Amino acid sequence: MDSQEKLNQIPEILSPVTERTDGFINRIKGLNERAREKLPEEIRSKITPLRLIGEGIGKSALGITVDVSEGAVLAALTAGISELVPVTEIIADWGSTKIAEKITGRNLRGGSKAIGYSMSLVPFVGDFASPTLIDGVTDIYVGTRALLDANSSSNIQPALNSNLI
Amino acid sequence: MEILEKIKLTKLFTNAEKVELLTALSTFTQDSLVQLESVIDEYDESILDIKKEFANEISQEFDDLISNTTKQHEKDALSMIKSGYSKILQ
Repeated sequence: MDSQEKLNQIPEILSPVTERTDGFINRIKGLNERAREKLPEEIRSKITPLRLIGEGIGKSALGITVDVSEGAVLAALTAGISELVPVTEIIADWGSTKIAEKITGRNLRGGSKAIGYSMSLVPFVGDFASPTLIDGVTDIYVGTRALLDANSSSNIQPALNSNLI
Repeated sequence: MEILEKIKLTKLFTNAEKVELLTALSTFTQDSLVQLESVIDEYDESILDIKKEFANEISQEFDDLISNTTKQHEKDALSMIKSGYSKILQ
């Protein structure tokens, strides 16, 4: 199995999680829209129509996304397995890769950027990430990498010890 | 909690919208502010409930994925991803 095929296995394996996440995001978007309709006109005039905001509002409510600030630890990471797409489409995703590098202390290159992108499952808040979030990010990173390796045709043992990543 | 803090913390608005609202706060009528606060309170309470539900359901989804695979490597990897999710969703 080549790299692209391996990467394509991830969304397939985790599709139930993807679908569940998408369901909740849509539910929150509906809730958000109804709440906005209840706002006084003078306040509603100050905000953006929900249709122009996109999924971010749902992911933010679930606590699974934050805003980008270049050069800082903050990154616009979108959580949810639905964001795991083929490496060719995410290779330019600088933000999440940089975060993955910071957290894991490793330089991510080439196909590993796809793994780095899987890090876009994590929320950061403010100028730093809490230890719990760092742990969560690391777990997801390591687990996703192991899942990828588990589908390798070369029978590579998955590295569940993050020190080996 | 004052309306100022509620606007800053609510999940109802984007950060850009929060900035707009906060800078215009003094121009809103008292009635509008009362209504805004009520909408925020109701929304954020609903979101808390949904978040808990989401965390529980995602955990269950991972449990199902783990039990449905026969490959031990996949079980271990999925367990780790599940663990990660539970930490970030706290």
